[in-house]
Amino acid sequence: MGALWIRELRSYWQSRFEALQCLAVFSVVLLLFPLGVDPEPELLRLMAPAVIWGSALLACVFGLETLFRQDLREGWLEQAQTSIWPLPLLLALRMVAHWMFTGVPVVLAGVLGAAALGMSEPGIRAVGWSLLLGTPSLVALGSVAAALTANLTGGAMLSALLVLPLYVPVLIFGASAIALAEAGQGTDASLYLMGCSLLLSILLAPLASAAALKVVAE
Amino acid sequence: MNRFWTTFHQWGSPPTFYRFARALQPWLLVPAVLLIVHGMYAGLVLAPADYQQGDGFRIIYVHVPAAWLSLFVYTSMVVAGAVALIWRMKIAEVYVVDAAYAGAGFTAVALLTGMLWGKPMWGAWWVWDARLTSELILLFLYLGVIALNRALPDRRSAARACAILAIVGVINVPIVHYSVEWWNTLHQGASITRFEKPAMPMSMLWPLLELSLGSMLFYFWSVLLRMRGSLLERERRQAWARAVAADAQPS
Repeated sequence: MGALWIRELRSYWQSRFEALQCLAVFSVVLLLFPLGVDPEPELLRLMAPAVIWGSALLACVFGLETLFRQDLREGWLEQAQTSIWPLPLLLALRMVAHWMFTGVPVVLAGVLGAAALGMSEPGIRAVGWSLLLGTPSLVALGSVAAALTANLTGGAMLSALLVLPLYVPVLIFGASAIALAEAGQGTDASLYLMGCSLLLSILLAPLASAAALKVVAE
Repeated sequence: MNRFWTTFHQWGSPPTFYRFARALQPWLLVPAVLLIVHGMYAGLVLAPADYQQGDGFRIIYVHVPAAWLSLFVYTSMVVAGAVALIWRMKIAEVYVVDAAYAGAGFTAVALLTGMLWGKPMWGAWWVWDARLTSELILLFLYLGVIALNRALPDRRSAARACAILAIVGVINVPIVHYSVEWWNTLHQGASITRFEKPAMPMSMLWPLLELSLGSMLFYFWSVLLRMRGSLLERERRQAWARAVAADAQPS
C-alpha cells in the first residue's frame, strides 16, 4: 500500500510542471475578471466569491485531463485489476495525489487572490476554508467524468460538459460561505454542507470511477 | 421464482421485445392521440379563463406535462441504467440512451413554455428562480448523456457509461435542487413562488390530467419507436433483424 502511494506521488512529482498548469489556469482566469470590469474595489469585492469559485471550477476541469488518460494507454488498468488491492482504493489514492498537486496550489493561490480582490480578513479565511473543503470534492466528482471519457481523444470538452452541472452545489455553498463571511455573518452552515458533500463524494466517487473505467476500457 | 427469471430473460431478448413493442405501440398511440386532442380542446376552449392570469394560464396544459415528464424520464433512465449495469440487459441499455433524447426534448419544452409564460406574467423571460435553474441543469445532464453516448465508439459500453453517468447524476439532482433553492433564499428571499396553487376547479384540472396521461402514453410510444430502430441497428447482423428488414422492404 505504502509503495503504491509512493508510486503515485512520484509520478505526480515527475510531471509536477504539468500539474502546476492547473495553478496557472486558475490565476489567469482570476486575472481576467477584474480586467473585464471597472476595477473598483467595491465591485470587485462583490464579485469575488463568484470569480474565485468560477476560476477554481475551470482550473479543476482542465486538470482532470491528466487524471487517467496516460495510464489507460500504458495498460495501468489491467495491472491494477490483477493487484490485490481493490480498484476503487487505488483510484482514491490517485485522487488524493492529484488533489495534492492540483488542488492545494489552488487553495493557496485562492487566498492570495482573495487578498488581491480586496476582501476583508474573515472573507479571506472563508475563501481558504471553502476551497480546502471544496476542491477535493471537485476532484472526486471530476474523476467520474474523467474515467468516462478516459478512452477518447479530445475528451476534455466532453468531460467538462459532463461534470460542470454536477459542480453546482459545491459552487453555491462555497460562494455563499465567502459572501456570508464578507457580510460579517457566520459561515458554519455552508462549510458543514461542503464537508458533507466532500464525505459523500469521497465515499462514492471512487466506486463510480472504477465502474466507469472498467466499462470504457472494455 | 424460476419462471419469473425465464420471463425476465425472454422479455429482455431483442427479438421478443421488438415484436412486443410493435404490437403494443398502437395501443399507446391511439389513446394518446385521443387524450391529447380532447384535452387540448377542453383546456383551450372549454375551461374558463383564470381570474388573475386570463387566458395566459392555458400554457400550463403543455408546460406541466412536459415538466413532469422531464423528471419522470430521468428517473426511469436511472432505473433502467441500474438494470443495465447489474444484469447487462440489452433492452435496458437501449432504453437509457434512447430515453435521453425524449427527456431532453421535454425539458426544453418545459423551459421554453415557462419562458413564454414568464414574459407576460413576471415581466421577464428568465428569472433566476430555483426551479428554473434546476430544470436548466437537468437539461445539461440530458445533453451530457447524449454527448457521451455519441462520443464512445462501442454501443454497448457507451450505453453502460451513460447508465453510470445517469446514476451519478441522480444522486446529485436532489442536492442540486436544494442547493439552488437555498442559494435563492439566501440571496434575495423568495420573490417568486411559481404560482400560488389556487385550488383549481375541476374544469381546469381535468384537461391537465388528460394531457399528462396522453403525453406520457405518447412518450412511451415514441421511445418504443426509437428503441425498435436502435435494436435493429445494433442487431443488424442477426437473423431476426434481417428478417424484419426483409419484411419491410417491398420486393
